[in-house]
Amino acid sequence: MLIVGGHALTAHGVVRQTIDIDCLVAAEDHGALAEVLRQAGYSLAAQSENFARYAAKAPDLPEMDVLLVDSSTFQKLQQSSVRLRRGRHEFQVPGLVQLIALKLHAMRNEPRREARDLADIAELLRLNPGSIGATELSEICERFGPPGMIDKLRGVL
Amino acid sequence: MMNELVFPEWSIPASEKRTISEEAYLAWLSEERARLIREGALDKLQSDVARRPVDVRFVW
Repeated sequence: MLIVGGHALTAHGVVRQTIDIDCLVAAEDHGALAEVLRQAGYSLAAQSENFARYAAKAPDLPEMDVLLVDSSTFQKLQQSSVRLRRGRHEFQVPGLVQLIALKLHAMRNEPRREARDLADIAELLRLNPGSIGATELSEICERFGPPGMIDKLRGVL
Repeated sequence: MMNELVFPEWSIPASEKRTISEEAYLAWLSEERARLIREGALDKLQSDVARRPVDVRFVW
């Protein structure tokens, strides 16, 4: 399992106000994760082919959004992941390029996310100078993002 | 060693930019969630467009 979303940003130096937890698993592992969540007090609140949301009655347990990917994608993301410490616990978070690609993908599928996700990507790039080249950034913008995203990014960097 | 977290520049004035410990951040997060529940704002937060399910599978 990889932590994605707002909490994943912290592994790359960016802090954003976020409460709920987003994670990413291989679709074939979803059943195992669901069982762990069920034992922790969560129940399934919504599900689609690529997504599941879990909620718990306890107010101190945040909602969990689960993004489902195929096993090949998960393995590649895991190979390039970085560690995120939360107290005594340690999680894996996608690498910088892959995290930006996930945000671009989310923007392409929900244009109303653009303002916030664009700011997140810009902040990731500012705080991690030299981690991604101009050509690679342009390529992932074209592959994963909405049209014209590279120009918008250049405009805010 | 505790990680140090830096607030992004766009969210806080440069004059107030600071680092906090991860423990302090987690404590703030817990307090913020409790505040949102008290004020009834959590439902609104959870229905935010950013939490809309993704319709297309991400492929790397």
